[in-house]
Amino acid sequence: MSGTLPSNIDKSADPTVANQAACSDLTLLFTLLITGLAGAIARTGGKPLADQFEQQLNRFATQHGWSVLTGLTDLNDLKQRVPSVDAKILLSVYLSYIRYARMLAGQALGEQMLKSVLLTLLNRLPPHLADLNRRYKIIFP
Amino acid sequence: MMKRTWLTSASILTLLVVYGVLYARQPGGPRVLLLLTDVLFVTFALLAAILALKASRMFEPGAAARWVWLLLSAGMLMLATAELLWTYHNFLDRPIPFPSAMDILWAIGYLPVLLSLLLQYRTLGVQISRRRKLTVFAIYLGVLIVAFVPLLGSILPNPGGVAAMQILISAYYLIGNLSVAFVASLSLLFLGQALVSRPWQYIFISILLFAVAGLTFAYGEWNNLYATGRNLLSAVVDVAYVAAYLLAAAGAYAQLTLRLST
Repeated sequence: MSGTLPSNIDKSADPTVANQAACSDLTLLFTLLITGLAGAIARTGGKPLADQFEQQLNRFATQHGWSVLTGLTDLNDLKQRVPSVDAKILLSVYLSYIRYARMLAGQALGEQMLKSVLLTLLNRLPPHLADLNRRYKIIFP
Repeated sequence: MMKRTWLTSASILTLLVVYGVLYARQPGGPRVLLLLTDVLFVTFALLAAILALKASRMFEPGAAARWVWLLLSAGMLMLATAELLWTYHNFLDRPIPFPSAMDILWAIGYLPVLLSLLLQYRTLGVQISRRRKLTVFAIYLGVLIVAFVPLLGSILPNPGGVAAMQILISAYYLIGNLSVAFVASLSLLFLGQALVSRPWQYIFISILLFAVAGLTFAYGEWNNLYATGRNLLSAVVDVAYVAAYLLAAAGAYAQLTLRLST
């Protein structure tokens, strides 16, 4: 999955612009997913547990090349900046972090509830984001 | 996390075993045991109320889960007050009418506890197959019938106003307890081994113990069998109540110490 990239990136006239647009879309979906999972953990397990989820994910990211690849300190920087790197690499990095985030969220919420949270997130995506997600496969139950 | 869970369970078991031994040996006589039992009821109910209040602060203001813990705390505080009044009456050897102020306080205080578990069920958005729900419901209905028949059998031969009151009160607690235990077990089935289910595992067992204690107490009271330290039935009632309060406190403690394993 990590090797496939949406066709619109390749077809764009300006590869730099297309790449930056893809990075922006991927980041938006990734942020939505992490925020959604942290929100669900906060609602059922409390704020400290949600904070721990975010901290552990951040630690995982910093230990797995985040700063080296993007130049950002940690995942919290995504609120201010979109990384400007090769979108294919960014996608594979996000997918690896998502696997870890799902593992942590599954531990906190249990598999059934995690599925239900992801389905809710998926159903609440506005049409253009749902379309993007279908191609990037960032959020899936 | 596993270590802490294990430690909590071991501590609860140790406390109950120590209480059980003291109950059987009765050092200082039955009166000391009665006071110890009353003090334990008050202490653990109060502890549950305080810890549940602290647990509520882990959630954002307005969050449903905050209300879940606040309701549990309010309920436990009222039960602690009722137990404190019992202690006062027992300490001064004052006769206790039926129904007493404590009975009323207990009945009212129990409502927030029940509401707390119902709200928890709603907050989780439990999705369980109809078949599983029906199976669990059938089990609880069976338990309800099996538990209530002996009590009715002992009360009905002596009909009257007090008997009717006793039946109503017993039914209130038993149906209330088992209905909430039914809802709580659906929540637990939905959550499985999730970390967030840990506090509710303790509270679920606590509710079941309240059901056992309440029913046995009603049966013992009606048949003049219940008196702290007198017999096995009284031991079941007292140990079950102590354990129920203790497990409610343990549930709130588990919520306060929830951590993802690293």
